[in-house]
Amino acid sequence: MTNELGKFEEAVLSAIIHLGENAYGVTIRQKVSELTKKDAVIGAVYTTLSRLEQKKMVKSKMGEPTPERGGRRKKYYTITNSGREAVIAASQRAQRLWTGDGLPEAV
Amino acid sequence: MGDSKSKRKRRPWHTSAEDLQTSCYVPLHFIEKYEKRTSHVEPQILSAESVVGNVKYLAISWIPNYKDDVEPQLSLFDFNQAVSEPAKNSSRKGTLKKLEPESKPSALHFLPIDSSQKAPQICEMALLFFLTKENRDSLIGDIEEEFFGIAEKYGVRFAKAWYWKQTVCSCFNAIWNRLLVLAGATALWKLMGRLWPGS
Repeated sequence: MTNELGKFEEAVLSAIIHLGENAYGVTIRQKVSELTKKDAVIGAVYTTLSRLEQKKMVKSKMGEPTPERGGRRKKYYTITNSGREAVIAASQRAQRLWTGDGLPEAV
Repeated sequence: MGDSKSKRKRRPWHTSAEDLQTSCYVPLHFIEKYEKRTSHVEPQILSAESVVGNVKYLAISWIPNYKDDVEPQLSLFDFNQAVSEPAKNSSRKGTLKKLEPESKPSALHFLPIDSSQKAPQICEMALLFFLTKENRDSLIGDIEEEFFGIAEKYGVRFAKAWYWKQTVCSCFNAIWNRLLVLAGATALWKLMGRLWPGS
């Protein structure tokens, strides 16, 4: 399976890295909105998280139910090694484009 | 103190509250953790609260120990984990703290909640219908958590509009994903039909 990431997947993985142990739906959505400067939709965040979980780039575990959430549990996400590698590879790819590495020299 | 008490508002997620007149024992670490985090002391039992989802909590009021103009705080403890009276030779006895009911319960604490502060029920139903089983509970919980935060900050009308936007976009996203899967399966079926000899 290819480790190529879409822009939104990159943003979600970066958000999880930034948030550390406190990465769950609300905080991830807010961080993604902050990083992309666009109001992210929670449904899109969860769809992406499910896809990343299928690719084994993130792991999830259920938290405790809290009253603010109407007794519903939080789903905490952590990044796996392959997820971290994919983010690093994506940032290196972007870096190469900016530095012009591998591009023909300007005339 | 009286004035600050009257300012206390009921949290919007509570659906009902019953006046609790008996003392209860709760774990000491729960009390110490709260006291350490805030400057509030003198925990007293306020009521037993049912929140959305029928989870019952013991509502504990905390009196600030420094300024009179600071509002008393409210914390919630799982009602099922509270003990009415520990056994005499119980090893847990030293780890529990006895809480007394509030000396003068105010009628203000038990005001029915304003229904306009509730999250839109129709949105929750739509989310339950369209979302996949694995994510629906945590997703609805997330929207609800943010809803009350937004309602406190920007008002209920804005929060409701935000809730609707999240619902519509999330449902559309879920439908779109299912259509993509269906289209993929149809294409694969057609391809197999062409490749399979004699079909």
